Amino acid sequence: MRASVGLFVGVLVSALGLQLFAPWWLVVGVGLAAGLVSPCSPGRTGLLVAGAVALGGLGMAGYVALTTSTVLLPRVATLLQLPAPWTLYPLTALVGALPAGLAALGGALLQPRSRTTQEEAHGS
Amino acid sequence: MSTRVRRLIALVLLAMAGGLTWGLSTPQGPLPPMGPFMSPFTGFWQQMAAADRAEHTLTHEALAAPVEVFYDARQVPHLYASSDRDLYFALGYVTARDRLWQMDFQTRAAAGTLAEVLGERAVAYDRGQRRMGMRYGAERHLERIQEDPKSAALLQAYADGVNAHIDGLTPRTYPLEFKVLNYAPQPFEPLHSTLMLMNLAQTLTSGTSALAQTNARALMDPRTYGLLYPDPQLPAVEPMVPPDHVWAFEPETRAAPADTFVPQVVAALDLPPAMLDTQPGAGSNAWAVHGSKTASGHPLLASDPHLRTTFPSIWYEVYLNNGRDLSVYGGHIPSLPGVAIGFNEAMAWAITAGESRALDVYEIAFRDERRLDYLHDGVYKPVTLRPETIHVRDGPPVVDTVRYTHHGPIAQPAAGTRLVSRQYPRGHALQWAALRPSDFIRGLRQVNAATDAEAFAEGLRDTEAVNLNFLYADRAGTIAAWHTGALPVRFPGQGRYISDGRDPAYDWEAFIPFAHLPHVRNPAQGFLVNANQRPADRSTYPYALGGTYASFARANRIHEVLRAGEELTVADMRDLQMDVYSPTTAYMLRPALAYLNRDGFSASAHALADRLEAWDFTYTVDSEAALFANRWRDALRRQLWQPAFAPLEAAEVLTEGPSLSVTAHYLHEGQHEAFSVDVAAAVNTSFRESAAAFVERYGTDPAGWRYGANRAAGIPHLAGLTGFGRADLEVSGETYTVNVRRNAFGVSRRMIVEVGDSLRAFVHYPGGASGNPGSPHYDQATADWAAGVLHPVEIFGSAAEARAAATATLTLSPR
Repeated sequence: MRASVGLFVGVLVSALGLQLFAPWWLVVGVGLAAGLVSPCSPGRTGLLVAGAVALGGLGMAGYVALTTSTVLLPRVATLLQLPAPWTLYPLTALVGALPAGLAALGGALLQPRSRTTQEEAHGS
Repeated sequence: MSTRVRRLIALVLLAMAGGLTWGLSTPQGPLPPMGPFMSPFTGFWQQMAAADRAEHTLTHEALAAPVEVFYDARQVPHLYASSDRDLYFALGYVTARDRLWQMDFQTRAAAGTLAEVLGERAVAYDRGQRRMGMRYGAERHLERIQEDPKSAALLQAYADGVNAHIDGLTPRTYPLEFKVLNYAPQPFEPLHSTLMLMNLAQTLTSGTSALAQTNARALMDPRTYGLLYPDPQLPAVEPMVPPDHVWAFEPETRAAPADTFVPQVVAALDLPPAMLDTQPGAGSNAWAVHGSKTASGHPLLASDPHLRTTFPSIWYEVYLNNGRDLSVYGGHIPSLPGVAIGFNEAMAWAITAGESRALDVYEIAFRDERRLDYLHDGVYKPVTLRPETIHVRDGPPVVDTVRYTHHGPIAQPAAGTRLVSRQYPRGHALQWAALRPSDFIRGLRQVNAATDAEAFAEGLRDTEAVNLNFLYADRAGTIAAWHTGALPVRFPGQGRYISDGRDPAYDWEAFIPFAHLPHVRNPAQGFLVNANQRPADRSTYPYALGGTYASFARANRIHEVLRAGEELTVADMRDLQMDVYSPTTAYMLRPALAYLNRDGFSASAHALADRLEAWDFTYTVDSEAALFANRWRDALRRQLWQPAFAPLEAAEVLTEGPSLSVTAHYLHEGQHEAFSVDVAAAVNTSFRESAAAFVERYGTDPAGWRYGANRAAGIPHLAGLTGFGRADLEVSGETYTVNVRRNAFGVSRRMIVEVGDSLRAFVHYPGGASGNPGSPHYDQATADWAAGVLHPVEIFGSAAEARAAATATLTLSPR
């Protein structure tokens, strides 16, 4: 449990911090790095990383929406031919989370098998 | 699972992650790259703006002294500087801060560099712009401006201000459209300002009907031709300068050529002619009323320029104060330094398109297929070759070599590329007044600072690149009007048809002296009007101006209202600007209704006829007659002329149908000789067919016939981005009403100024100060614009007053 929380928080903070200054795709690198060092199972690693990146994105989007006018959301939703403005939130979360989660899963599978099975054996 | 399989799966997953990342970083069709665009850290979320601007400061080495900018409640920046250079720097900065993408896009559109950012799909458009000489003309204007150190310095200061804003941007803070279209802003150069001037000139002065008129004259017998295209116009139009004006000068003259040149008919266009579906372009209105006809005793000036309405708006309102002789408020066109329409403490002015002939088309006799020299005045002269390289995003550059004769550029190649305009035949040369150099920076600066009519007129001498009308009113009580621009001294009829490029008689040699251009002050009638109609009476004004002037509709309607009016007020001016009575529809349908035979009418046809007969010809949003009236009116016109024009349309020979005004004029006379059909039959057939189609489209319930709910009155985004415009507007008016509305064309801004001791001004325009679709100020005034609610302009007596009322401040300081 502690390892999962640590991984989640670590990815969340890293992804948030990096994206303030660096291009969006660095979250994929964060996901890969997290996967390579994660003590969790590959599946859990992928989900945790995707969840952390998604939460970071949603959190930032929510903060922006709360502190500014939201007149842009219906405009962008129309531009992207989305059914409703609220769909921009899950789409925003997904755009970073999906590649980062895949990278994390791949990275975790590259680890020596003993490290990942250790976590599985101990439970969480 | 074996290690090898795990690694294989890992590599597949990593490849998927990499591929997904690449895919999300790459534009997919018209969509932006979704990764950076959707990122809440760098993407569109970062353009979501608060209603209130943040306080802001900037230090810059180009400034000599501080400039203070105070944003009022409508987010209009009020700029206080202590020199012209600092003021123009600040103007560039604040304009870019709100409208940078618009400036970039419009100047690219003018220059023909859209393919750099839009790719292959923009190459044909860019080629057309290059062949018009847009960049060539902009370079010539820039050269002229740079001959005057002061003008050059002001233009450079404006560019420096724009670049100061650009330098402070990062991809995260780029305006939204850069993110959607996935490109970065280019540095702003003085040439971009002259390109914007060319953009304006192209919008207002590049039209010609020479080809259509040439074909019509060649294919019709002279009598029919004279009936269909009467000169002077029918019905008669009240000119801008009253007909009793005495022209106190000796005009220059131009001899007509001895021979009668007959240009070739240009057939087989690869664009459909649609000659009976064309409608005139929307124009502009402006009028000035003398104090003797106003309730306050002070002059009133009203302005409503009609252009393609878009978001962001073409207008950006500003107040400029240089601390000495300049204190001006009005509409600034982003990229064109200065105020184009506005007022200062002494006077107010408005602009309309002049519509005199500022562009001629020449048939060129090249020596051979190489087209390197052409016959003129009996000898072959070499063309000047100007290679134009069009850089294409994600593709190889396209090089197009444009040939320039002494007349001007060959606007469309002889063959091989898609025709970009039906107006300019292949292999012909254009002579266009906008390609003559001028120093509009000096002219606009002089206009902005003028305190009387003499000083104002002096500035107009330098605005000759664009043929315009200026309407003027000042505190001293003077009202005046000028028709301006570089207009050649012509022999009668010169330029109406395609001109002979071989014959020097058709060259542009002398130009009408400024003092001889139509102008008038304080006429006895007590008001002056321009609605793009003829500036001066054709029978008394001694110069041939040519031109394609607006019909009687708006000009005569405004004359009628102002002539009848006494004790006129700002509210009266506003009512006239919002007037939606259509003189053209009334003129056309009144006689048509008299022919109507209701035998066999369906209930819906009866209902439509009832509504038309009870209608006052006003295009209000709630009218249940207006929508059908336009359908029937246009169908009737087509029905009346179809037999004469069907063979021409089938042959794809470009002509133009007789105007609606001429059609209506003859309809008043019944079975006029111009009509080759039975008028009564045409009226009834067109009504029945129109009614059937109308009911099929809008249903039988009159509630569904409302004008406002059923017409295309949206305001699109400048680049056509879906969702960034407005499609839900109910707007009154039509093509021929004072309050013009035709599709996306219409009133781009309204302004009324009472020029008294205590100056009062009222404005609105569709849009808002901000060009950012994520700002509440992007389209904030649009509803009021549609409803005709004008906003009082906040006029401050000093910087301290402006500071006290400011919603935000911006301080620019020397480094």
